[in-house]
Amino acid sequence: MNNFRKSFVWGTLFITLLFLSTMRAKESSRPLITPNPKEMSFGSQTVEIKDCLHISSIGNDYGFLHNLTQIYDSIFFKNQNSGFGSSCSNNLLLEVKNSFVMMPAGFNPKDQSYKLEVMSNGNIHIEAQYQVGVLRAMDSLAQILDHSNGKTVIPHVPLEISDEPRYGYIGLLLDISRNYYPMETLKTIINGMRMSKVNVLHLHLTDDDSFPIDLPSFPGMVKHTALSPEEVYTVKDIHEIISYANQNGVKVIPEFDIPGHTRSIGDDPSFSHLMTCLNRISKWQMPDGTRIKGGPSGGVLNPTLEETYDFVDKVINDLRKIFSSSDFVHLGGDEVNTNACWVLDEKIGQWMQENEFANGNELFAYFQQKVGTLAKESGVRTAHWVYQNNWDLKWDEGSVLQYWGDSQYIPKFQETYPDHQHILSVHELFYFDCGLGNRYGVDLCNPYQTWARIKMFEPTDYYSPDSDQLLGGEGAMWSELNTAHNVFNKIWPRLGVISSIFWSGKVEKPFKWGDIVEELVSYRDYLKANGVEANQVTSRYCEANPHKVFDAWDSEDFESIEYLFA
Amino acid sequence: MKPCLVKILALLCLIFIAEISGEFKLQDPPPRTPYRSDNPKGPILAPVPRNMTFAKDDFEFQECNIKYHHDPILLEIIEIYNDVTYGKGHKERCSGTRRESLKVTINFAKLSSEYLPPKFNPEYEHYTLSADSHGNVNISAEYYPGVVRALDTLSQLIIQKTDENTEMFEMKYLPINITDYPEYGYRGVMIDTARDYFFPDTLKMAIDGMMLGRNNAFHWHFSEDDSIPMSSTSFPDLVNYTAFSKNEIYTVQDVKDIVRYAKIRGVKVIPEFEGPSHLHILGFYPEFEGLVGCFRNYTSTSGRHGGPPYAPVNPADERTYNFFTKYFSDLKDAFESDYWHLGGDEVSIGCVSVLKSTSKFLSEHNLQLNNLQDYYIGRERKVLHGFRPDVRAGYWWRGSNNKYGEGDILQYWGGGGSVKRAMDSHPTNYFIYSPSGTYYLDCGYVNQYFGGSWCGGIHSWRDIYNIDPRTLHNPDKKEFFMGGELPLWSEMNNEFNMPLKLFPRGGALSFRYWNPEVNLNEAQLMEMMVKYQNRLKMYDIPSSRVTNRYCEEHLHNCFGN
Repeated sequence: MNNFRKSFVWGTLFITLLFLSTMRAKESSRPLITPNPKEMSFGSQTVEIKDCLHISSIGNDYGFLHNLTQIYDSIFFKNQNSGFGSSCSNNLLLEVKNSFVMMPAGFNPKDQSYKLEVMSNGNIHIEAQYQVGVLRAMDSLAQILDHSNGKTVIPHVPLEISDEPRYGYIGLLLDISRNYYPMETLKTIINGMRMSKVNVLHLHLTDDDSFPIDLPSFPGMVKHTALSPEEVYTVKDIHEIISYANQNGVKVIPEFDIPGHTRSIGDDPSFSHLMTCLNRISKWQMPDGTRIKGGPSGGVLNPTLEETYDFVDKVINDLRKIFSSSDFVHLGGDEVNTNACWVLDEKIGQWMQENEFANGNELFAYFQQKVGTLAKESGVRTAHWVYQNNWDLKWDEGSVLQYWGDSQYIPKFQETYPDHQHILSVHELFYFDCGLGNRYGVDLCNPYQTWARIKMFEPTDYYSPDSDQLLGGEGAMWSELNTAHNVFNKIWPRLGVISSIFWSGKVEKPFKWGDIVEELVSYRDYLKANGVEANQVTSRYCEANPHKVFDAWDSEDFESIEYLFA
Repeated sequence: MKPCLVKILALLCLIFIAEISGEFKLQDPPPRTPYRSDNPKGPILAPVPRNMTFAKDDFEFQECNIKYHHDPILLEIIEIYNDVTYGKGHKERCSGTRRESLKVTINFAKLSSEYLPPKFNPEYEHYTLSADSHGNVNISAEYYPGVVRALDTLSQLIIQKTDENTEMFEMKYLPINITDYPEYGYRGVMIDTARDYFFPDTLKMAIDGMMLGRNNAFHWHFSEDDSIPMSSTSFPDLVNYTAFSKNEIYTVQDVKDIVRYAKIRGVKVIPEFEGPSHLHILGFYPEFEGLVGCFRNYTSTSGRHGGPPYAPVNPADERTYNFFTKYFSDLKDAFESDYWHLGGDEVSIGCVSVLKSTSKFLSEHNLQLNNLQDYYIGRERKVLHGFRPDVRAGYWWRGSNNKYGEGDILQYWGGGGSVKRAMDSHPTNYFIYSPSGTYYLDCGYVNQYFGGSWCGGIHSWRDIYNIDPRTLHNPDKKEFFMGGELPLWSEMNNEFNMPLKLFPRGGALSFRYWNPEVNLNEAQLMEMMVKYQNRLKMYDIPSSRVTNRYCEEHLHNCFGN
């Protein structure tokens, strides 16, 4: 169908390959692995996997072995004459403690731990607690393979790596409400997450823009609430995504954002009475001060109707069943205009008076308490968004709180919610859409975040390393201005930097900036060579000369760098 | 079927298709649904025509049955616009008998003047289009580019009917009468193919997008400190030293192909060989040993960073002019150009002063270091005029103290100051407006070092559209204000993200310069931009979004009236 586009795609692929051949011409003196492994020792020999690589497992978990060869065959071997097989001159031996389990519930960092050993004779040994550890080991190894001339050569042998993340939750939020992504796109994104050792895909399923999930309790609703009749995820689609994610060591967490960000529910005439502020257009202030009629068109659930809670209960239970392996159901709770949509609404205002609610925050707490009880009765743990603009909001006991405010208010966040577990998505660093404009064509949370600034964030500046309060961190890909095409460029390579922070932590000073750039470029090349598009780290010239360009700065000097290039 | 890629790579292509199974596949967008406007009040065209009257009749017809009466020379552009109108592959979808058809007659006066002249006179794109209630369409234009613009407008007036199973099309608001021409003749896009290389197919895709956005100039910046991918028959081994790799070059044949491709689409290609500065890479060419200032000294010119310095070739060395004479001569026919951009930006004269040959040359020619660049400009112009006396030279604006020739085209890129003042100090020069603070398409995507952006955040399509060109110059100097151009520098570009940075901003510039006086409300402006974006998408050109998906189809639910 799209010949021109295809030739463009091939063009992109060629660039990648040609580019890799130029880049890879310069051998690195050390294994470049993103995120950096916890412990690593390496030699200076190289060994070629000549004919094939035979994988065997002490656990005889054949399904998993099949999964492994499916994922890594094209990544490890770039010509048709080699691959995984039997009777090979090289062997890969797996020793997985829980050999039939991909990963257990919860976010214990040790679940992903692995030991990788490549011996001088080219034999490979991987030890892991769970199958997911083997995937992590395979991606570490795949990143350093040298494929020049179509061969598969392992450099830096003998190589020994002992690795595990510092935090068990390293996530990517993907907003699939504001843009629909085809199934293939979602799978490619999961591939990229695996390559980046990112283990949680947080799907923001619903928002003002659309409710694209065809839930069993509401047959026919998506006809009204999806962006178009074709842009719908069926239960079968979601199962396929969860299963694909699981095979790639990625957990999928659903988010049903309530009580705000729900306008699309009102597109179904059977539910429009659950909404207040439905389709109300407010004014939007432009940078020059003029106000255009173009504020976000609204829609907030009415918290005074019992029917609202019936609706929410059914959604939560549908999500619980569909996402049965998820550790929690995220219930959003973000950006609710309780004053305009609740307090100032005639009926709701009257109800509040009759029931003695003094303000919007109290009604919000009532809503959260009721929803929290429903979730608890269904055996569901909840999660919510927290921002810096209202510290009076109360959340149900035991819920996970995801903080998206400025990093400077993290201490306030900790102080306000000491009894919850936390996830950090500080927007000035971890929001991939910042700096790229909003839907009116004006600035959005500028500036665009760079790898260098993100790299400087360190969670232990805020959370004691001994505490398990912080589950981890998450990069957020909101989709207002996304398509299935440009989304890759926004996520990568920056997701790898976020992964580095939570997997391996701050780089020890003194370091060379050139080393960091070299690692990132190598990681980016790994993504591109295996089907995941990614943005530039720096210019072509500088990518080829990272030390010449970047080593002039010393590692203590980040403030002056910010000053120079702000 | 398009070739897999450039011919040189055909073999590689086959090998890689066979071998790489994890390649990036561009995922198909959601099913192509025709644009669903919720604004039924009248046609919204991008750009809005200068004069248009319309009424209430409809005319329905089936595709593939348009009868064109035209000059044979127009066959190629008609086929291109059939693809734009009905989608690529529309011929294969055609079947069955036809009842109704659109009958299009094209009158086109001057075959010999088909190409845009260096001054980009607006009358070259002037056209009239009338359509009656019975499917008779008449197009008239004096010059070829006017026909291209008329077909572009026609393609936007034809709408696929959404309520039919068979493919039916219609024109609404008939009868329609349009007289249209741009207020400003120059609406350009610059692509830097030296800081990163783009394959000819990618450049052609960019040119397709320019055609749909009525950008009529592709300013091709092909030399930089980082690389020079443009090959030369006089210096056959040059690109071995100056290109990123041996596959990442442009041959004279590539240039011919691209120039022809652009010309058919109403786009003029303007070559730029930047000089004397930004030529660090030339220092690697053995023949130019000692010709490039600051070649080895990486830190002296540009602070602490070690990026490629702004290294100049020495204007005080005859070898420089010998090189330009031969190099330009190799390319002059391929570019068919009567307008060469010669750069002239950011010259570090300190880098020249230390070169061995300089002082001797200066005393021989009775020159001061300070006026060396003026000397250089004069010599360059002589080289160009040697090929063709009417050729125009273009330069990046360097401040009011510099001397240019009468009629030279100056590209004003300063953030501060004003183009008005520049026009006052250089009353015989023509100006193109490219302010870095709004028009630089790389701004906001961070620099090649640690981040940050010297030219502010991302300049959105709205920032670009908001600039009214009529306010930029004195009314009596309009003749000297040619138009605007969006430069896309390529430090942080690659094959994948380049079109996303170009589009939809290319059109935002063009639509304003075409018709600056039109006053659209918020929803109409959005609709114009979204329609343009959908046309790009239908033509397989990646584009960034204008607004969010929901608002694209519910403009009145998002933006009011």
